[in-house]
Amino acid sequence: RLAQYKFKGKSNQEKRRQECLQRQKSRRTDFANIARQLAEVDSAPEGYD
Amino acid sequence: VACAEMPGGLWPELVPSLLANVTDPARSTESVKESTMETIGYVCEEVDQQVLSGYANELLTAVVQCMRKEEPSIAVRLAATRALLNSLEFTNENFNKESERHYIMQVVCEATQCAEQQVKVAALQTLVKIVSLYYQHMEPYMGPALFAISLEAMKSDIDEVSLQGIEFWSSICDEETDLAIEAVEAEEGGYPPRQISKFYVKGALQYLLPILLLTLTKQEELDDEDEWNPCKAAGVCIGLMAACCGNEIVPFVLPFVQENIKSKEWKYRDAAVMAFGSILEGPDQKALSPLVIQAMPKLIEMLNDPSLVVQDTVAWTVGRVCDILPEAALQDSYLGLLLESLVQCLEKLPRVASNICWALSSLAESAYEAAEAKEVDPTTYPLSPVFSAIVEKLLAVTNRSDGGQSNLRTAAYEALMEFIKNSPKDCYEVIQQTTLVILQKLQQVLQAASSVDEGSMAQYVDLQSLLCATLQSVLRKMVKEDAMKISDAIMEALLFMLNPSVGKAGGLHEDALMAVGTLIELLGVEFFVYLEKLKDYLFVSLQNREEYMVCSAAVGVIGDLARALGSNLLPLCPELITHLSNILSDPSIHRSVKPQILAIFGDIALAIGPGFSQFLQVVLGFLMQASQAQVDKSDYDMVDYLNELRESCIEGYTGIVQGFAGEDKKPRSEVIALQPYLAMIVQFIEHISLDNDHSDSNTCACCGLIGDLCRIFGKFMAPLIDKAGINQLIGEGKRSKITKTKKMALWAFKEIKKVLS
Repeated sequence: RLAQYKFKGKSNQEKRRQECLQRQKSRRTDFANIARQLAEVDSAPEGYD
Repeated sequence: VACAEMPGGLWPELVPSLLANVTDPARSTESVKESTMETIGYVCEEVDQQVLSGYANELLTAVVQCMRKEEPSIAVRLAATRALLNSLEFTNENFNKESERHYIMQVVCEATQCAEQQVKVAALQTLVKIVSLYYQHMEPYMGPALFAISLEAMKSDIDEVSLQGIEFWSSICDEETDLAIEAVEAEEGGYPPRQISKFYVKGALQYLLPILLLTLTKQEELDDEDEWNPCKAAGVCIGLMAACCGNEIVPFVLPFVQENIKSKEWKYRDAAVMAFGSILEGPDQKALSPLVIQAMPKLIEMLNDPSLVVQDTVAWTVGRVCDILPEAALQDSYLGLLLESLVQCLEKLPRVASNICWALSSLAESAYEAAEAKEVDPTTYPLSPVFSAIVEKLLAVTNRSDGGQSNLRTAAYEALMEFIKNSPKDCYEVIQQTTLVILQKLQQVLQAASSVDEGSMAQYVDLQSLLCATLQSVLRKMVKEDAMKISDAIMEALLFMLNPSVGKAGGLHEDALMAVGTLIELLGVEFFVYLEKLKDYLFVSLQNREEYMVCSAAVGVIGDLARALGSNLLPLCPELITHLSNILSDPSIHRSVKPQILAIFGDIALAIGPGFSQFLQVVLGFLMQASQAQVDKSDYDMVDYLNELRESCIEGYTGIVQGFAGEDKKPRSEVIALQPYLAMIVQFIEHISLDNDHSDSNTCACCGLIGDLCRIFGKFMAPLIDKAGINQLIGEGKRSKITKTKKMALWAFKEIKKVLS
């Protein structure tokens, strides 16, 4: 409960970890979608049309 | 000893012997009974519940017997009450039987009235735990007993008693908030909820809040930040009530805020601001926003309250506003004043300045999100004119000699990272300058490595970790050309930090690896020049099973390398696959690492194409094994884990299939090597589809793979995919509310149609 007092959100390292995993997953999907020609223009990795 | 022996059935006489200590008049002296109760308490707390379940009735009877008010010894009553507290988890069956439950509740309630304070506190602790574990059984006791007992406890002048009274209601808030979430999920899923809320908190608000608000005014001026007391407990409880009851709490709290915010006594001003800050999350934002906008000028003024405690609470409340109600914080009429005050307050004492850093972090995030809503990759935002000054000021805070207090240095670095992460294009120059400052700081810190004594090592490692994380955030904003100019220096610093001789520095190694991953993503194939230097550090990190987050970050780096280097990764692959296989075969590895590895196999396969043939058998073996995993479906966390594991398998298969087929429209001939496994893969997809607990994200990944298989193997797939489970999957995907899933299902449907036509 003490951690809930004047709580300021998750630890930053935990946030960074989640964001990093999320980004890796999203890049994986982008790469898979290239072959499917489903890649979003904005998220397509460099060098791919 | 019981923990070691009982699971193997090696000490069958222990429990009968303990029970005899209580029931046999020849043995049951006061001290024997007291020690026996203590022993039962420890045994119940430590020994696996399943091992003890056969003894539950007898143990409970003995414990409750010793708790009764008829027990003449206070020491025995106390030990017995504590023993019951420790054995509540395995008394489930007794709580399901009305007569037994009545008896236990009666004895516990009586014990809360004991004149001896320790027994009273232990009994109240027991009630708190009972209400959490057996909420659904509490209705007959709430009105006639528990409500009055808890209120009386809350009002007590004895802190230990008052804390339990407040905790009782905090626990009910937790339960009812969870039940509200479950009810929404059940409604969305079209099934009845397993348990329903009795809304005890809503019903009791009018009685509880006057006591809690009064308790908020009983703070100490020089309290220890790590000390728990009724005033802090009341603040937390009001916050939980707001989350649980939403708008209904506002009319009970607002008059107190209005009445006391201008009080001459700091305790009342502080309580008013604390109460206001505590109800910001839960009520409808639309309802709160006008109130917050009205209050903000006063709050900004109060950042300079004569009392340090009030300053601290105001800083936290402003941070909450920035975090929860960003629109209210970003009002043009006072944004300039707010920013100016926040920057000035960074010079205050660490506990205040630390909250100010957090407020600035939230403000940066909110301002960027608001700008992003109007323009993708925004050119500018409301903080642009002061961006440089704030970054400079935050950097200055990181250098404060008192930065070790109240987590200030960490808070300043975190605020800096949020500012960088949430910066629009017109702040890029500041990002470039900050990168150089951070790199310089990092180099200075690393040069000082040899002179750090053992006592300061933890702080030194934390500082490196923060610098590393800041480096990550600047790199994420940087353009490739700029990064290439300093990449040698960055890699040198990162490899220095990955040095295993630093010892237990899991957090640092994890951050260093995440920064390496960011650099890999930024440099792309140009990262190849660093591969030789990186690989040994990477392998050491992969072997760090104890600090599994390091291992997990290293696994992530392999995925980044695969995407950046493509077929250039091939020479390193035999060693990488061996390391990854070893991790998967290690039963001690934390379960969260496994799904990640299965997906990374796909990343590697996609990168090296048919070069993956040499690893196909071993990798398919792991994927097939993971595909068969089963979990306890009553455990929600495990259901989520199973979904994650299965999705990673699908991602692994997808990478392999796509990697073998190649990027051209006509698949490579090597893809034929996968044909013997296609039936098994489709069967796995069907298995996921028919499991009612699968996630939308599972559906999306499965649709993607089905589409790929049809696209690549054409007519060969026809007999394999004409199955109920596959139709169901595609139908579900097409009906999904998530655009990505819907789009994927529609694409897969078209690919299937081509095969079946």
